[in-house]
Amino acid sequence: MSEQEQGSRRVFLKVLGLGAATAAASACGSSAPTSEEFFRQHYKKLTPEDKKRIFAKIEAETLAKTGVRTHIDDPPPIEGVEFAYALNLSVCNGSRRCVEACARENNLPDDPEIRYIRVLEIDMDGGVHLDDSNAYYDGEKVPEKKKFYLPVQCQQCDNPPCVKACPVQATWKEPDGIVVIDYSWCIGCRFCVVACPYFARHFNFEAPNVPPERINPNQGYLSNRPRFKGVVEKCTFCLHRTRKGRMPACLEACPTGARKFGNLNDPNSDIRKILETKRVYILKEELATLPRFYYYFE
Amino acid sequence: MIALSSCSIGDEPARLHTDHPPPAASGEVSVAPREPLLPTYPCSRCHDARTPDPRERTLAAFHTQKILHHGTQKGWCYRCHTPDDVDHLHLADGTKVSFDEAYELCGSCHGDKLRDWKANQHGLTTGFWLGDRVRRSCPACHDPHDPHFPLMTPEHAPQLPRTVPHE
Amino acid sequence: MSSATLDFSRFVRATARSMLRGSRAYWLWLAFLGAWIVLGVVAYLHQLNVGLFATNMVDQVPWGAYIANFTYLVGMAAAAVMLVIPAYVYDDHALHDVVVLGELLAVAVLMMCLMFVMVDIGRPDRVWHFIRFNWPSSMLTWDVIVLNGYLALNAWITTYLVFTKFRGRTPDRKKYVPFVFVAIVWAVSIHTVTAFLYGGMGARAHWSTAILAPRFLASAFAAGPSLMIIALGEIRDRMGFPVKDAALNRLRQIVAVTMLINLFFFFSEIFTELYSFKEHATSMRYMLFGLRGHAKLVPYIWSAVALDVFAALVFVSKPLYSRPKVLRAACAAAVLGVWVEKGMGLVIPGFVPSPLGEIVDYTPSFTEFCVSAAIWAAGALVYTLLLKAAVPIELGEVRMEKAS
Repeated sequence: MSEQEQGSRRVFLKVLGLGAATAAASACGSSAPTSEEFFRQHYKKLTPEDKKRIFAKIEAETLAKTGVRTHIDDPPPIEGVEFAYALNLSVCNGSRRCVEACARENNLPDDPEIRYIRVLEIDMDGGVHLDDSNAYYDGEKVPEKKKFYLPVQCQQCDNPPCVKACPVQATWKEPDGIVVIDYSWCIGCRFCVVACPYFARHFNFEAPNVPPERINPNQGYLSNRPRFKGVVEKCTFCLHRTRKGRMPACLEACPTGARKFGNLNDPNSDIRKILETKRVYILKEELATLPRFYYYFE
Repeated sequence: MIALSSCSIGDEPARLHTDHPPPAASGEVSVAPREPLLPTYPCSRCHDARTPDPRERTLAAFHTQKILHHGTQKGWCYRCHTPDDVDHLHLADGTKVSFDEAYELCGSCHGDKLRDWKANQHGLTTGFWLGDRVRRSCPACHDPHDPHFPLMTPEHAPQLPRTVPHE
Repeated sequence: MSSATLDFSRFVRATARSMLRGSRAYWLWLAFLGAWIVLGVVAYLHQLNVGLFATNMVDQVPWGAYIANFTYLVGMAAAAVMLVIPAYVYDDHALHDVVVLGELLAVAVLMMCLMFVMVDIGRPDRVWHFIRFNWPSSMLTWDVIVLNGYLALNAWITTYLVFTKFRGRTPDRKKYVPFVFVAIVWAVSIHTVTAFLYGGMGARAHWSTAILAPRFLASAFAAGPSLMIIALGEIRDRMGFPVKDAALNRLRQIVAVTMLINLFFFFSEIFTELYSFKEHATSMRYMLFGLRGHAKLVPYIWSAVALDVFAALVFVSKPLYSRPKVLRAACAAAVLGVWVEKGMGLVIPGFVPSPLGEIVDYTPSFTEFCVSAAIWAAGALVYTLLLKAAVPIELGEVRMEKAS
């Protein structure tokens, strides 16, 4: 090898060496998963013993990290129940009480902010066109004149594009209609975020951080347990509440009673009565997603 | 090892499983009582010692905040309140109605709202979708003297995406 | 140890030796690439540390530079087949010699594709979760399967051909020709699957169009062979590999047709969307003219159109394309034009407006730029090393020594 070649090779090797050193230094700051987390199976493959062990571990971790004693539950879908939601657009006043109640119930971080519900302010004189909507209204008291308000959250579609998109089956539709995510299985590719027509799915671009005093200790493995950087999350119809017969947090917070929820299979439920007496419609019907979320005007 | 998806292209999506019997769902829906919430109830405490004055006027001594902004300009307090039985309201034909049942009075004019309310479609119903629920009587949200639902200050707007320059 | 295994270990050692000897220019090129790679590794570690917060992606724009580059490069990989089809299907002997060089490019490019996907996902530690395939529903699952399959195909074909030449033997047609024909079909499939990744998204009106897959293929088959023309020119000049003018001309003929088809498809899309001016066309309007005060992408898309048109004009006019410098400029224009068209003309406008009507602009962050540049450098490095290994063997300069 000539002198010149040798010299150039030295340059290359020096660059490589410098790079390796820097890389090693940077790697020390990385947050790596624990061995248990790395090897944990998909939710559908966990035995009851696995779940007990895992839930106890998560509760211990939360306690160590935040000092808050939490309880992780895994309520199964109730036999024969199919959930649906209805929203009365004639009375929603855009107060966003639902948005914040959901955030508190589901341990959503404020910084960076994740919110499962997004309320759109739309002019009354044009119909429901989302292109002219405004999610950032602020300052004025609501409802503003000549405007109506449309809260959007996961529609728990019967033909969910997100479930089709997920390459690892980290999200699926449960028998009671709720589309759930196994946060410990999600690889964070965000194909589901791309696929969702309702802006319902949200990605943790950084590690979520909920102050200890705001943690809701009643948690579900598939709903509001602590999530991580790099995974997707969304509204789960508060399954840790609704699978025990309670109402979702957003419904209870609504000051005007615009939100109605219940079991489609029960002819006496509020939701069935609305579907039978009101003229309901769904968002983006042409996409054939078959949402479980019905809007109506009176 | 390789788990095949249960929902391939062209499959019918899961719909209502009406072959399962529904669980014992909606229980009782009760109406939250109003009388315990009224600070001046029972009204007879004061009004027993007074003679009712049926002349229409602006009140100057008590209940001065109760300016009537309800519908037509005709009528005043005694359209709904009963001069000789202040612990009850009355319907148009004179039928007595308790404060807990004020919705019957409201509904005598606002019949469609009463119908929706009785079906749990108007107003907030809290409790359990699987079990008992409570709904509130009209005055819980609509002050009968000024029933227009108050404007509210909305919770804060969502954060702008971090890549959007904030003004 | 069998004779083949022993020979293969000799092959590995011989190619390693080839890679480690080179001119000053070679080592400086490697150092240049290495520097970019180091920068990218540091940037990626930062991204691993803080999360994808280090990028400029947000919920409204969930995919950005990484997936845009990935999409473009899948097309490049598919375009290696542009050499293979004429050589094997039409028995075009001028191209036979350079087919291996094209397939080696496919190998390098596919590695880039896989790297771009790896740096994009939020939890790279969970890649093993792919054992729970969502097949046949998820287009991403299809993409992972077909890309790895195509990589395996090309790796086999190239390794077999070069190794056989190294041993001084004639390749056994049964061991590579069937794979070549499979690779032709497979190449079309990889880019079709990638196109369906987008085309299947009913939520994104900009992509939900039947002409998307044809557009993908046409633009890929315009940019890929253009890059090959440039690469083959370099290989001929720097490594002494005899690339026939007929081979380069065949490639030029291919890109002339494919670039014109690409432009026609693009025009057809624009017309269909804008004539009836439906809501569907909002993304198109954002891209071409700007929307509600947001016009960041407009200069890029029109530049891409200009580059594409310039390339097409050169490719079809003899006085222009017979001048090597002009041809090279046109090829570079095609490569760059299609890159802008795919990235800023296709991927990003799909996210504008958001599903709820919001417009959020996107520009890659510094981290994304460094990581993307590093992956391009890594691809260039891999291709350089592969060429350094293969070309001397193809030229007959390096042969296995029949030592006892």
